Amino acid sequence: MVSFHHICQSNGRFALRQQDANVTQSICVFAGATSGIGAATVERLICMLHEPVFYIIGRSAKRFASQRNRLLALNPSSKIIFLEAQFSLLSDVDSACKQIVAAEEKIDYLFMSPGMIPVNGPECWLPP
Amino acid sequence: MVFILDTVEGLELCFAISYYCRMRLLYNLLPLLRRSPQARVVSVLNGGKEKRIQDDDIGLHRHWSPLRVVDHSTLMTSLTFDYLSKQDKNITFLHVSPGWVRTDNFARLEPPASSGLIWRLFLIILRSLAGLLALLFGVSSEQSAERQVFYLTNGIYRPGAWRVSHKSEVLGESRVLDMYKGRGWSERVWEHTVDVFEKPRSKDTSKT
Repeated sequence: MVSFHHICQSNGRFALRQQDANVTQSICVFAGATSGIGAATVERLICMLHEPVFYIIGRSAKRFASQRNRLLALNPSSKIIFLEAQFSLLSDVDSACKQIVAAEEKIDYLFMSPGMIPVNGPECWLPP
Repeated sequence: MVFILDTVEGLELCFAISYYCRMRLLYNLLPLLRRSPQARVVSVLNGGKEKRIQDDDIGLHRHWSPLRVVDHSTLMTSLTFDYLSKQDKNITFLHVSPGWVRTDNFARLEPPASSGLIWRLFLIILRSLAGLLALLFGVSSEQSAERQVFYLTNGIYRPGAWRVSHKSEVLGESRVLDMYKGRGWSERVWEHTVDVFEKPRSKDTSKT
């Protein structure tokens, strides 16, 4: 087991190293970050990186608006691009990827946590 | 009685979200991940909880059930990361178990309009039980996020395939996973996955 204290210290040290002017810009792609663990992880990570770019794949740009404001307040140097997609569709995932591939040279972090609880029979439940 | 909801592309919804679409996203972005000096891929699912699956029905066309879709997504994620980590030796792949986290996921679980009384009661019980367990054993989503960020940034996770528990323990050998790996299933599951990706898709909404 890795102690929570150790984890916080390690994350703190990483954040400090990012203040170095020579650190290159980080590109992050998140799916499932409009709620739950994913949303909390973006909030934590965005505070640690210097001028990061975040691509957030989610279902509604309108619903994301308040989250975007909160994230920008946490780190005004960040750039946040919301990609509207139904994550359960391969074709929607492809469209989102096309936009990322067209704009970026590299990706450093890919974080996937879109959720579902497979108990709801015919209307398998998805977080809004 | 089990109902199955398929997406318009013909994939079962839960399987699509927890496995196929995540892997499609990863597959599409691999060329960009290769260009990062220290790329990390995290899938928050069920690392370490690999169980035997329906070997003759990887895609669960005949044997879908709520528990099986979890078992299949779990094992297939670990095997796919094993396979991809051997192809791409500069990328770190982490299959993570979140444990109980106090999100409102279960609280928002509402019965569909078509539900009968028994199903409604079952969901109420499930929701209360999950709420109680999260309260007793769960951590806040902020605490969980701290761990997720650690997986993304800490240097101990060298390139390769990792399975990590909710307490951030690195999980080693697993009898079930090693058996599947020994039988060449890392490649087999990836082939199945690519087959699913390449299958022509109809856009009709008929259910299987």
